[in-house]
Amino acid sequence: MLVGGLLGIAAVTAATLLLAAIAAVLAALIASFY
Amino acid sequence: MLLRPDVADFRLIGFYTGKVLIGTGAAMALPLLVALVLGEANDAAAFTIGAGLALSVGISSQLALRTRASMTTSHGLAVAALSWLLAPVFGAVPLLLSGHYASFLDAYFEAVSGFATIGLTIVNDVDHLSRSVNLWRHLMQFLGGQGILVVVLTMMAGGAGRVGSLYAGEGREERILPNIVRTAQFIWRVALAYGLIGTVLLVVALLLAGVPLAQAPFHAVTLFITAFDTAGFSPQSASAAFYRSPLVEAILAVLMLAGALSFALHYQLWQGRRRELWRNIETRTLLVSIVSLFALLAVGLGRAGTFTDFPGLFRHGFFQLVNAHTTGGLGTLPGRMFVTDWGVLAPAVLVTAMAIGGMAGSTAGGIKAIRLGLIVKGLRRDIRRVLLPEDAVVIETYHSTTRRVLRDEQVRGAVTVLLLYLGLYLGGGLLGLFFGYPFDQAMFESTAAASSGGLSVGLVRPQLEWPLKIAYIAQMVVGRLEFVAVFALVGYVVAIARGRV
Repeated sequence: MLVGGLLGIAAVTAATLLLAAIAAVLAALIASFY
Repeated sequence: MLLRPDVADFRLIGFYTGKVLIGTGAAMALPLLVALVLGEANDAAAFTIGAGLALSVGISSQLALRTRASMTTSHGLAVAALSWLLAPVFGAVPLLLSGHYASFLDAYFEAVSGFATIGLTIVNDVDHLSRSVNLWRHLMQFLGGQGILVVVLTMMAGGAGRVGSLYAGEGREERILPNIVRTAQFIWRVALAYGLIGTVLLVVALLLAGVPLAQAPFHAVTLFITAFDTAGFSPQSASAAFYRSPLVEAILAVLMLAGALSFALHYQLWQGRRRELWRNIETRTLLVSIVSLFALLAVGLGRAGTFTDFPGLFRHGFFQLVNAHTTGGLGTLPGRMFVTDWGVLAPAVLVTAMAIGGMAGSTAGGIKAIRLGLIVKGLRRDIRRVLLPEDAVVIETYHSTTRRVLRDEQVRGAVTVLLLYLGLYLGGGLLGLFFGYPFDQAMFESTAAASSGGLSVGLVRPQLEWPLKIAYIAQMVVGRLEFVAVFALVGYVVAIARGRV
């Protein structure tokens, strides 16, 4: 369970970073219009 | 509907609420210890009085109301509602005695905001609050956050059949674990794992940001609680902006998102089923919602000319949106700026994000991603029914732990709760308008209270009119308990009023 927990936390962290990366691309795109 | 409760029912509710009060009193031992160690004599006395009161009432109830009757779902829901109303009464005592609150109502407001993991604060001069009282503010969030998880995951999910369709919409008819004890153990295990890792990372990040070593652990622990329990208090008045550190903000964002994931999903992830993160209807809904709302927010900020550079727009925009969507409630800039510098579209996006909230079965509040997801699925099914030949059998499915067939009553339940939340947001907003506040600010504050979003544009302050304070308190409790528990308690109260006992 401990390893599963650590991998679970890693998966959540990776998902957040992916979300942030998508948002960064969007922000860069939208900021270029203004 | 509850028809004729007898005295035994009330004994049972009082008996179990008393246990919660004993827990509240016992929890004050930690800030009491901190006060004693740090020599905060006044606060040590305040915690002794607060704990004494909570323990006296709690223990008296155990002696006077001792019962062996078994608890049904409606009892459990009434206990939950009563606990979230009464525990803050005692939690407010040390706050009031600290001298940082203008009245008992203010201290109670703060305690309700803590236990319900809202994050709206009404404290005077938080920067000079003693360590022990500041710790207690955050500890209330932790107790309330962990407590609501136990309630939701066992009472509401386990008793969905009896609670009725209002909870059927959550797609968790079965218990995620066989009983309350194992559920609570799992919740604590997850909190402990995130707590250990999160606190260590936060200490490192805070040290890098220039926070002295002697203060970093306190800030790290309180920030962890506020982020992981998607609560919103912070140890400094400047909130997350105090640290001026993108790294601290990044760690907080991960913790807030982790806190907004349902514990049923955490359970799947911990069992090694990591694909669930991608397939789950709630994570998909959250992903679509966060990305599309962020795009809108960025357009709003771009139009308003709030940030002149891309890094500023991304850093503040993304953090604040995640914060609002997970109903976290931390700030990287003063909340007043949402109405003075963010234009009109961007703050409306934040209100929308708070209104939607996180996942069911997490500490996040709001309408919840599962309801939104089920309603969209229901709409898709209805549209397909129109477009396909009349004799076609249209079945819509969704993924939540396993693949499930969408049922009509789930959509109905989800729509009902959605409407109840919208009514709750609007009701508080209208009262704000009654007291002369602008529409945007009244709706922002009302939604922040009812969704547990906890961001504030500055209306919540000691000078706030008392009827609004009471209204926000009611919104916080009703929104936190997702209506049904409050309806159960009201049912018992109505039975007393009608003399049906």
